[in-house]
Amino acid sequence: MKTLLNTKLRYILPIALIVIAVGFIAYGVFDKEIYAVLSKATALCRECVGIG
Amino acid sequence: METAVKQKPKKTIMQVRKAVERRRLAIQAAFSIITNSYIVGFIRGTIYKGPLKQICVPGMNCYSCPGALGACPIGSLQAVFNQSDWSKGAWTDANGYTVTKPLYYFSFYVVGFLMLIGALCGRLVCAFLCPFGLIQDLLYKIPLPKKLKIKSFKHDKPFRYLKYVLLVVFVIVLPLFYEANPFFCKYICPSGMLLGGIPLMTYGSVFGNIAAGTGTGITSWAEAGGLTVLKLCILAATIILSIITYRPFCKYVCPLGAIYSFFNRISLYRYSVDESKCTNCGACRHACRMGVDITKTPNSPECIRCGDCKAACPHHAICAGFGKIKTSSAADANTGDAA
Ligand code: SF4
Ligand code: SF4
Ligand code: SF4
Repeated sequence: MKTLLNTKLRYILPIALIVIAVGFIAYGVFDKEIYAVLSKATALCRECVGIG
Repeated sequence: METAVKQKPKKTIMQVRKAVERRRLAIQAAFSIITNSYIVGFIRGTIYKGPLKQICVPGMNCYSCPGALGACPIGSLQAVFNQSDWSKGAWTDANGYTVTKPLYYFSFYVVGFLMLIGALCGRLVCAFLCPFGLIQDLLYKIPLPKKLKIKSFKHDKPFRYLKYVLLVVFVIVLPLFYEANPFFCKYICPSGMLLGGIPLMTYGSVFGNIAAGTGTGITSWAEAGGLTVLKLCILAATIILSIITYRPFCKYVCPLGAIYSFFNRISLYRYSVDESKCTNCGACRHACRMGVDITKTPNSPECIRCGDCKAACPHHAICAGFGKIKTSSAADANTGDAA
């Protein structure tokens, strides 16, 4: 019984996380958070390259 | 009539291990080349500015690398947290996009991306899909006298927690409270210096500042200052240590590895040891360069899922995969231990 529960949990937990993750990504895109990423990634980052 | 059936000679464990490592290096190299294939960037000393840059890549791949097509998740996480202090209202970013809600106290997009990758495969990314992991793997191949190669040291275990401290302090807390300061990128990450700073500044110094495409004018070593020296020192230390010991950045520093490590225990992709086959010979423990004893902790947070232990096991007791794999209950119960 315990093993069966463990086996089920072993799939349920990551799949639940994947569903939540997809929801988060969709919300991030909807909330225009994606533009914050884009604007940082496309303007050469002075801190990354070590100037400043 | 007798037919002579020629049996294929069985591969030795060493041959299997070498084949597994070659295959892994090929996948790492292919993925790194694909995600850094903006050739124009290398030719013109500029970076890619197209829409693909809003998509995160799974590994530590600096978005200031001239070839980078995607965004580094750790840089992106700090970029979003850095906007938590912004005044309310609409604003227009450098690319002309109108952003109407600039206050972000949590990054749903980047956290969702990291959760997705983590729940699917945990630190499998570290072994197969991270360019900075590949660089460290190649550096470790540089031959040195055996006594100069360090497998472990006395305080290895407590040092492994350093990456979690760096994640909390430099990637989350400081960027949340100090606007426009990606602390991890700025003060620690050697990947930006190696993949972005050195190629761009060298290009600018050699060919002059013709990289107008960057729109920043910072493409020359003449701009180098104290921060450049600090980052060059960190990079030099990372390179030297990577020749001496296996993946020091991944073991002790990387916040992305730290995030994925939380998922190793629960991800769909996982390792297990079949206790009925395992003779406790120790071959797997000896083969693991991350210092993990897979028989005790099959999904340890420190396991990068490279497959070396699986290839080294003479009894084929180690399995890995997404599907149903035979589990060893005692070992699985132990998966929480560090290394
Ligand atoms: S620990 Fe970090 S640098 Fe190392 S392979 Fe994983 S993501 Fe890349
Ligand atoms: S190499 Fe295989 S048999 Fe030997 S201890 Fe590891 S899992 Fe067990
Ligand atoms: S336990 Fe095995 S798969 Fe994990 S890091 Fe060590 S050798 Fe690689």
